[in-house]
Amino acid sequence: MRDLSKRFGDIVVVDGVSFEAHMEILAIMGPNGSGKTTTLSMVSGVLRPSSGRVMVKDMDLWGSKDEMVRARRYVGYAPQNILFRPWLSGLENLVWIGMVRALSYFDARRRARELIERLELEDHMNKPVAKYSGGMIRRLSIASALIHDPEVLVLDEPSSGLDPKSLESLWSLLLRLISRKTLIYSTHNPYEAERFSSRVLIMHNGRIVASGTAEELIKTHSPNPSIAVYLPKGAKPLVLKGYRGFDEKNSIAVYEARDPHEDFENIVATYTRKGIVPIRVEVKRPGLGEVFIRITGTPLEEAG
Amino acid sequence: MPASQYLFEVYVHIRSITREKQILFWTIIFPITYLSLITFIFGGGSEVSFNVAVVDMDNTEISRALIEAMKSSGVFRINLLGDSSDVGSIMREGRYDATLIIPQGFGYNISHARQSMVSIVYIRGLTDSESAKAAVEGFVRSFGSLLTERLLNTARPYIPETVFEYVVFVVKPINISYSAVEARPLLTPGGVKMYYVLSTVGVMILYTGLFTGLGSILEIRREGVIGVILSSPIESHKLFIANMLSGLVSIAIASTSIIVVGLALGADMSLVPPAGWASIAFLLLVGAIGVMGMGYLIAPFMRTNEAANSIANAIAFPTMFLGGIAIPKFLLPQEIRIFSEIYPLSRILDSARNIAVYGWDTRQALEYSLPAIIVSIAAIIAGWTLYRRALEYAVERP
Repeated sequence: MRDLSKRFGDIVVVDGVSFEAHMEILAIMGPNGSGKTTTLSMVSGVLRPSSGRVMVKDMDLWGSKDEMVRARRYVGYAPQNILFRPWLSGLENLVWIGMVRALSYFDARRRARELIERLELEDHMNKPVAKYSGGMIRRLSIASALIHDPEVLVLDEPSSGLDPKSLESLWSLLLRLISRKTLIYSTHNPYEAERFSSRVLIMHNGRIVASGTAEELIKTHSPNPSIAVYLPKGAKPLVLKGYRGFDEKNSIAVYEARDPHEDFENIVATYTRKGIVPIRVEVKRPGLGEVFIRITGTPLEEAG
Repeated sequence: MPASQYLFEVYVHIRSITREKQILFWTIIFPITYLSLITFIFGGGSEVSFNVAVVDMDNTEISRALIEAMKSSGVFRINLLGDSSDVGSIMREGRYDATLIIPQGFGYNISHARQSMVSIVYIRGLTDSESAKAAVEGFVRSFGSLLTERLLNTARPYIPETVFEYVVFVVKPINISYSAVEARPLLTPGGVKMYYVLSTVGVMILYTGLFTGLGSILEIRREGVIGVILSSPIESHKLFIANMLSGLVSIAIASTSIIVVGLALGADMSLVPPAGWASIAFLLLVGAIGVMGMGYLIAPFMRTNEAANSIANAIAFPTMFLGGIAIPKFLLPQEIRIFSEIYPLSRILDSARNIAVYGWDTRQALEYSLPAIIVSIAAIIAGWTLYRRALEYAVERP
């Protein structure tokens, strides 16, 4: 992706985004309105960039008519809310999507059965999609993006709305399916990005503001652990050294700890002196969540 | 590039027929129910008969002979009334189309060479009653002519030849000769049913074509579908053809059901030669493409499915009657018949029906429907242009 921009009138939604991905898992994080979905739409061939290029195997995804068609054969995309025909079964939905993606009916059917089996949906493949659970729909979406065996897979928030157990299960299936493929996906979940991605991009106001492996990002932007102070309801946070922010909903004040032992004791002592007895105090190892807050100024709870 | 990209919507439609009751209803159940009803109501053939009451106050051999002749004509269902006092109210109740009153002295006058008279009571302005009046009047006049001929033949030996010829002229100045031609299938019950089989196909073309065209762009714009479509290696013309093929297959499935049920109901398809069927199929195909084209032309202005459905119904429902699609043109008032002459599907459907029931050949049918064929092709080309623009717009804005 080179210098991708998208404008709607005077509003610049994506502003000069460039990145490369090659046989890796690339997570894009960013608060709402940061341009993640617009970027993924341009990368997958759904939305034409105002400027910039998307190259897939040396073909411009938005180039000549012929190039556009050929490049799209290598890209599989699952939007956040793919609209399956609810009265058709999972198998039938995958077959028609396979046909749209240039597979013959028989190849689409064979490939759909194979994916359904690998995504552990075989017991439900003949049921109408209307009867599928959220987790099953997510798996079917991934199958729809993989139906024509693309080399680049683009998934918009594939784990949105899944509980931790379903998330683990989804990724364990997904990782088996994408060996030697490039996966670009968006997420609001720092754990997901940290655990399953080889690289992470953080977008803010339509630009990439940070990129690298999770480890690199943490080291660069938030190397120190944080101390989370769980306050009683109604208590105000104290603005002390390293104060990062306050999660009002859960009454948690967050501080950056340069020396965890010393800072922990100081913070607890100061609160106690002021007559506020914390319910709990935790020292957290630094993670992408902290990096995200530091870079975007938005807690992840508010990001999505 | 496999043909599957042209056929994916056909696949979805065919699978949907077995999965979705609503689609099954509109593709198969509705057309055969509609055909069954319309042939039950209108498919009885062209046998005309009138309910006529007769008040025979004369009750002579001649009056009874007139009544018997009316009965045996097959045109009238005769019911004898005792007297004429209540005829007005009986007529107003709508039990009879007309009443013939034969007054006392009718037979005596005729047998004594005096002018006789009868009265016909009918309801002014009511088509059936006016027609019955004309039929009874014509029948009585024919009966009178027959009597005159008999009387003249009886008197002929006593009348000089030159005077006789003049008398014959005075009595019957104009003779009518009748030439019987073989009845057209439309005049038989099987022909009428065949007519309605094609009319029902026309109704399905109208509805399915409009719904296919009008819903096409909305379907692309649906969030969650557009992502799948636009990220796929498929050109816009393939999407367009896939959409059209889905509509055409839906019409073909409905038409097959209609023809099968039509045959079971007694539609006469025997007089159409194979070339005639090919012409009918071609005309119906062009008609369907034209209606879809109309749908594609309006589709960019539709914002919701509800609006598209309402517009499709608002166009199709009056058109199926005013355009002479569901019913024959001759049943339409003269003032609105012009619409059926210019409406492309009406003209094309009429050509197809005329091949099937009036024995038109392909050339006649093509000559009659040529302007409609041109308009239909123009509509689909214009529709394709708008469809492509809608796709181009969709990749510019999410």
